[in-house]
Amino acid sequence: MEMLWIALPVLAAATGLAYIVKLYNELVRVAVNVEKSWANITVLEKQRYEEVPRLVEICNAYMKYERGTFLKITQARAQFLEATTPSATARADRQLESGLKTLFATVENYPDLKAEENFRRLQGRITALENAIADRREFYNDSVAVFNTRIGQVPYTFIAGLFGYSEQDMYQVPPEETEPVAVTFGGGR
Amino acid sequence: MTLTLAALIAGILLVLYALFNSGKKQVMADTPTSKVRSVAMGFAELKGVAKPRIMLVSPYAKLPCLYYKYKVEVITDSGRHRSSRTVREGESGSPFYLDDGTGRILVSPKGAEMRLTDRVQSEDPPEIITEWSIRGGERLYVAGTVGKLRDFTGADFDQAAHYRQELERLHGLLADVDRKPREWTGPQAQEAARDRVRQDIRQLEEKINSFSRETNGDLGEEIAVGKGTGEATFIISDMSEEDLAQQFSYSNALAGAAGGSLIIYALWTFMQG
Repeated sequence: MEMLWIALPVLAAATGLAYIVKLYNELVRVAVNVEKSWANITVLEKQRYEEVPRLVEICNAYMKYERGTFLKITQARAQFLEATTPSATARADRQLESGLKTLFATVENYPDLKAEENFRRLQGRITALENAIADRREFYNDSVAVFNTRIGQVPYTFIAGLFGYSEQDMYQVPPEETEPVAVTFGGGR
Repeated sequence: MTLTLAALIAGILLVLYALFNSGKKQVMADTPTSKVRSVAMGFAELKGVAKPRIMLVSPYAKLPCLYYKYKVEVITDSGRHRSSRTVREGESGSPFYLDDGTGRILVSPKGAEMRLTDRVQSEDPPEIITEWSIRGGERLYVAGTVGKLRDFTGADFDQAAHYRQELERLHGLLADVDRKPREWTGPQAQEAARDRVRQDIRQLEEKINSFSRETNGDLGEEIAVGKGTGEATFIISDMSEEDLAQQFSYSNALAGAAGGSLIIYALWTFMQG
């Protein structure tokens, strides 16, 4: 009987401790998900930047008068390679994406290049990588949303404060990319 | 004393079951849904439509499906007491595709916790046969590890071996048609059955040839979802994520309440004396 009076508080303390450990482990899992989903974007971005020199080389042979676009793309690649923070990476990405958009639009004026097998293959690969990067950014934002919600909820918020977890930033699309695209109809005299 | 101890152990086991299940529910809630075309290696949650790699036929209900699981129980009825005992159970291991509109990925069902509502039950006294299946076109929820098919324990990546097995089964069936003439109403019916099996054999042989040409008979290098070695959660369900989470909540609440009550009862009894 006496043993039970000792065992009961011990059991209650052990249950409480197990509960705190469970909460902490859940927070670690969502934090790791955020880190992993960011790293998974970087993997695809690296693959995309690896394709850039090949793309520029092929296009250069046909598009002699588009130096500005090539410069923008190669500068973005150099920026990406030097980037050490997510915001620097995001800046390089935006420059590359805008450069590629211009390049693929300009290709319409070069039918020989458009028909080139290697160019079409590279364009297809880069477009597929861009789609996958967009998906993974969406996934990253979902992971951040789960994390931010969790650390704001009771009782996780106490554990998060105790172990120094704070809100994470979402991947933001720059305002100029959300504005409607201006379409100019040609054919005027 | 023995009963109290049994109640305490049962209570602890039920609470542990509820805790383990609540962990699975939490993992589901914490993992956003990936798209197949951009899914990364490691643990992922996917939603899509089941598509065939090869069509299977469930062993008892003879339903065309992509996956089946069955359980045969024998019922013993002593007048006052009715009990059941599982005498046979099994499942198919052949991978099938999950298509979410952005792409398709193989699903290796070996080792999955199957939460299926598509169920057929038949009684063939003293046996009760229950069969669950996944059919082509069904919407599925899959939470598991993404990797190469050959990395998953027990994954049936040697598709050619599966085809050979199926071919052997059909040849056995053909032999059965010849061996049991009394099962047919006449020689014409027997010949028709023979023709049907021969046609199935021909179709399967064509399938084997085209499969060997396409993949050299090996699926092992394909990306798939399966049971990872470091991840306990691998769920395949034909329910929506919300329904599945609700099912987990109900069973957790039930197990937790029952377990808690048993523990309190056992402790109370110990204290009384």
